[in-house]
Amino acid sequence: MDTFHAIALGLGVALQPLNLFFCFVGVFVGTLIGVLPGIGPVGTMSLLLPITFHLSPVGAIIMLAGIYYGAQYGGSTTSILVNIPGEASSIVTCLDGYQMARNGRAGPALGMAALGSFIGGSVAIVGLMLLAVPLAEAALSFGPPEYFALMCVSLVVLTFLSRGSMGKSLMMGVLGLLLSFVGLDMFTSVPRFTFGVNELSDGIGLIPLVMGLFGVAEILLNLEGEMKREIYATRLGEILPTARDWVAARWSIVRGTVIGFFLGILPGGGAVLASFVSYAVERRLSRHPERFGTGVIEGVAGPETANNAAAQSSFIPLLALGIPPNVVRAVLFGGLLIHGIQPGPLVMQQRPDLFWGVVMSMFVGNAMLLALNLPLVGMWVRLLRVPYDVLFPLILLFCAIGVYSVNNSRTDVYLMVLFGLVGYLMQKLGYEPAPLALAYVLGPILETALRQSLALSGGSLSIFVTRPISAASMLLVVVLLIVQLFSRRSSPKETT
Amino acid sequence: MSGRLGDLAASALLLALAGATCVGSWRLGLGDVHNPGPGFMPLAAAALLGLMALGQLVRLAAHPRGAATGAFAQSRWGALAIVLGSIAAFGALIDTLGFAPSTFLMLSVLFGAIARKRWWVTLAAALAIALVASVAFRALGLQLPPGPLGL
Repeated sequence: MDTFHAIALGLGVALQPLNLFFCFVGVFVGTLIGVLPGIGPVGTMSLLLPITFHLSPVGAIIMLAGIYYGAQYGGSTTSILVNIPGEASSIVTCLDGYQMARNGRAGPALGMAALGSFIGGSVAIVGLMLLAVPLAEAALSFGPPEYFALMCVSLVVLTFLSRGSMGKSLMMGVLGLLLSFVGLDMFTSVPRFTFGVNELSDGIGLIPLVMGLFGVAEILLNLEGEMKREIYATRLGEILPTARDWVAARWSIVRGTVIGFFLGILPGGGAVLASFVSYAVERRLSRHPERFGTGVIEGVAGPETANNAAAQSSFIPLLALGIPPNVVRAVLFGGLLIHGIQPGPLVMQQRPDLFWGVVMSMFVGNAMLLALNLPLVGMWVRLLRVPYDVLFPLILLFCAIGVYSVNNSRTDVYLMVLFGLVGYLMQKLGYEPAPLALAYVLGPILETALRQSLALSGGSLSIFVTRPISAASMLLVVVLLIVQLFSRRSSPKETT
Repeated sequence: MSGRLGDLAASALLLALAGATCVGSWRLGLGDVHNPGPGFMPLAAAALLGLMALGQLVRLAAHPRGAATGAFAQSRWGALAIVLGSIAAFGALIDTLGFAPSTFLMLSVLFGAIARKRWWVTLAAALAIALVASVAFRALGLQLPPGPLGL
């Protein structure tokens, strides 16, 4: 199928009334949870996963994808108006966005965040269309050794880019692998670490694990702080940036798009990392770096463009290789599996309607987000006035319903409670949950690839170094580990 | 608990978990490199985890100066227990009482004990949300247990 026909097919799917509705629901919910601090896209996607059982796979994935990129738009509103990041990817937007609001320029800050996100997101979708197809074609020749090596890269890069100690992140990655081994062994059907609990035969569910680690744990952490928050009293004023703003921000948007696009593809990367790197680059390249933090438009335009570009381009490794690059994509990976679709290079051949439908829906979703975030910004501001002590019981209720309804299993609810406590303790002690969740998703694929590789090679580990792609990937793993062992990072980094 | 003590406890816990998993993996059967058994990968991963946890324990022991600030200084253990307990109780009661009554109980505890709303606000809000959620989620196609009240 040539690109023209593929785009026509995708548009035909994305513009179906039902899929337009799911796209709208996704971006609306995404903006909502982006605006509201306390629940992120991972928790929300997990929460809505059981509801998508009743939808078509295309509609479900369009909606779940919309939540992620919608959250990137919504997160900036809270950062600019309240100085509290609605999403981790909007943390740096607080620095200059809030100062712009204090200077009476909240409108242009919000407008630039939305328009920059739209530009970055749209360009990244074009990049996705251009890059995903050849990458998927190349991936068709990959065997188990290549997949094993690529997944090792994914796990090591994720820990390499993590905020805190690499040792702790690696330990969490390995713990995630161990948790993924619970259940029946896929080769021999021998139960592993199920302790006689029938519900564990299928393994620990992804949804209780993710909802506990990210949803419940986040609320437990938020309960420690002050529950009241104040919205900065400012007039939004003219929402569209001035010509002077555009001139100042034009290269920030270009750089943000490029940075976001490539960091989104990188295993372990994502919107959070992209926004931090973009801000650092803008400050480094600025003629007036001392003005950053006082309300410069470049400090809003760059990171907001980058985080949305990354949110779109992170689909590339998921859809083309079947490897989720970050934990949000891991949840989407789980969603595809639940709908009987194995993410990977064959998706484009076997389900072109799904691949191209989802890609084209992102264009539609970005346009919807522009409409939701510019004229309706006042609505989101009013929503911020809902007190947290009213919100958090509702969020917990949604978590409990979401987890229970997957299998109508009380064991899943108990597991969510357990992982909520574990996630809370982990974050208090500086252990990040993201490597654990990603390793948990990659674990079964990693194990299958390793055992198949060893069977292919007659038990020789040399299979990983005699094939070019796996050899290069394993070399990268070793280099990253050595670099990390012998270098002391000067500044903390963020990851999704 | 100081940050260092917390790290020590976490490392010891991970080490114990890794040790137990190694034993369990061994019992599952390791197979051989030509045909790895069900315990092969868990043993490899657990051994790696154990080595890293042991390394962290040794490092912490070699550098006795730790963070002075308590990792759990701001923790509200009572609130944490109530939140987790109320969700667990929701799970325990939902099959017996039905969806709406167990939701009502969970929200009553959360609004009353954590958000500290007045008792009548708590009960009215919990009841209204439980009933609306019962109708809305069933309309979305979720199979939720009705319980003796049919709610």
